[in-house]
Amino acid sequence: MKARPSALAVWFSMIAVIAVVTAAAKLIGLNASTVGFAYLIAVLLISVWGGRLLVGTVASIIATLSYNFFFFPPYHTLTIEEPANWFALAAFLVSSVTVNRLVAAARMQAEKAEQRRAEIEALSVVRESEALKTSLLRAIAHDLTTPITAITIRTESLRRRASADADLLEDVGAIAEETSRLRRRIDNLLAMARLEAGKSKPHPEPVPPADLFRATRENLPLVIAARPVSVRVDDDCPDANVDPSLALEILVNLVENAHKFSPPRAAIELVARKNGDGVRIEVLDRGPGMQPGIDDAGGLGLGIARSLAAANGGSVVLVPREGGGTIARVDLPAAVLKQ
Amino acid sequence: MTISNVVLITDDDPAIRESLSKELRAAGYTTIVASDGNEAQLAFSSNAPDLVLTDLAMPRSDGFDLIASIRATSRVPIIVLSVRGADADKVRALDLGADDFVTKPFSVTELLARIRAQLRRTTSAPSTSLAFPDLTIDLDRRRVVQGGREVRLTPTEFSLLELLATNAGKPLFIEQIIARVWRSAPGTTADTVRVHMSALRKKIEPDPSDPHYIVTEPWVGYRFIAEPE
Repeated sequence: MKARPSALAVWFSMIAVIAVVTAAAKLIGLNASTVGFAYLIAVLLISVWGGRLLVGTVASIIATLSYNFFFFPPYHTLTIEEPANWFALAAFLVSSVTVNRLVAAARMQAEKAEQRRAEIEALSVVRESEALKTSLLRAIAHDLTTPITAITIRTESLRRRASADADLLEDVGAIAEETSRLRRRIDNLLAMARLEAGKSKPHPEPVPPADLFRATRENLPLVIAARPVSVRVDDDCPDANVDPSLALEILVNLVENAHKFSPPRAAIELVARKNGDGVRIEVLDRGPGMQPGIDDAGGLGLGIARSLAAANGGSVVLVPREGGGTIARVDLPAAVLKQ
Repeated sequence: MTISNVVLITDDDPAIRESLSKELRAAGYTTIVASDGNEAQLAFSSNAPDLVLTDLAMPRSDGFDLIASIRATSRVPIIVLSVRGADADKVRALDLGADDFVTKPFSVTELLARIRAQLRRTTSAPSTSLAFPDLTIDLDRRRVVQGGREVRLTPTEFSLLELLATNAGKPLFIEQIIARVWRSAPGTTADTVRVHMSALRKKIEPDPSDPHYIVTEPWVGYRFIAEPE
């Protein structure tokens, strides 16, 4: 939108334009009715250009006064002899004020339309950036996952063919473990990015904790191979009302954390039970336990688990475990089934 | 395997196509590869594969188009290679007629098991009895034996088990289950299915904390996971 000229400039120009019209008309010796049209055009220009109703109105009045003062006998007075001239002057005043109002109304309409257009534009920019975020996240997920998939397939191929060579198998195992770690980090970062971008608005549905545990263990084959991971779901434990993939991400992160801090071959336990109106899921380890002030030792994994739990209307806290170790406690809402 | 099954692999990434193709050949399959939906459609009509593996996001013609066009003429098993976090895509692919999916990065072992399950479903003759590890289902006499003991099921529970077990390895939508088991009786909701399924699972799973037969399939419904014996 074009910026309107400043108020001072408009007032000054208005007076200047009327003065110039008056002087020019006097010099040329225009007749009274032609001068009326000249004034009308001057007022019109001022209100179109200045865009201020008040300036336009004042311009109309000043033009009327000048018209009377300079062009209707007796000259150089504000009185009028001929009744017909009264009529001409009144007609001039009415038309100039009307023109002025019409211009102001038209300008207001234009400004409103402009404002609406700007709003729509801003909204579509927001929509476009949302769509961009979605497709960007999707592209990143695809581009990062593809090489990892290819590496995973090739590693399995190597493992299959190296089965007789213990030394080679150890190397292949190490590649598999590092690849899986890389994959987890990528999953974590993408989960966080989706959450940040408002893309992982949770889609909760009733999720049996036993299925969540099963999916967690399936996602962590190397942890399962390295140590016992036991599961227990109480008989009366209800389904959790959570987004299944976000809930999986929470548990995978917590079990991975427990794995990282536990001594070799120490068991990890997964327990689910009814807790008031909700479901309590615990990941119990026999690691060094928590030292005061290092609640953040879980780092990225714990942070992500907490954000995802919060997005699901739940929470994650770490509490010391009796006999040593840590309990990662996840509280989630329970599903209420209506038959 | 006397005649090897033909698998069509569709992925825009050559690294995936080649490594997958190599592993499937090592497992005894014949493979054809395509780099997008258009190529895959051509390969499909000229080679008549026994199973189709397809990525979803591909330039030009994507996996969704491919699934829809194959389903217009054929019931060949289709397994989708989906990406983690793209759950809506996965559900849409199943809705269009895909039979199953694996999430990248998947393990070859897992993929081979899924392929076997799909090929078995299409080749096995209708049978009066289904046998899974520690579980036999006698469809004629409507009897179920788990771990050597007979399990008493209600008629609804038996119908649920029959539907899932005859579709072993295939994710079933809750809507499909309602249509088949309840014949779309009015008032039947997803929660109705969940309640009966939960009761069934408690009866047939030796350890309900660690299911071996039936699991939920996020945003879809249920899947029977045991492999027939």
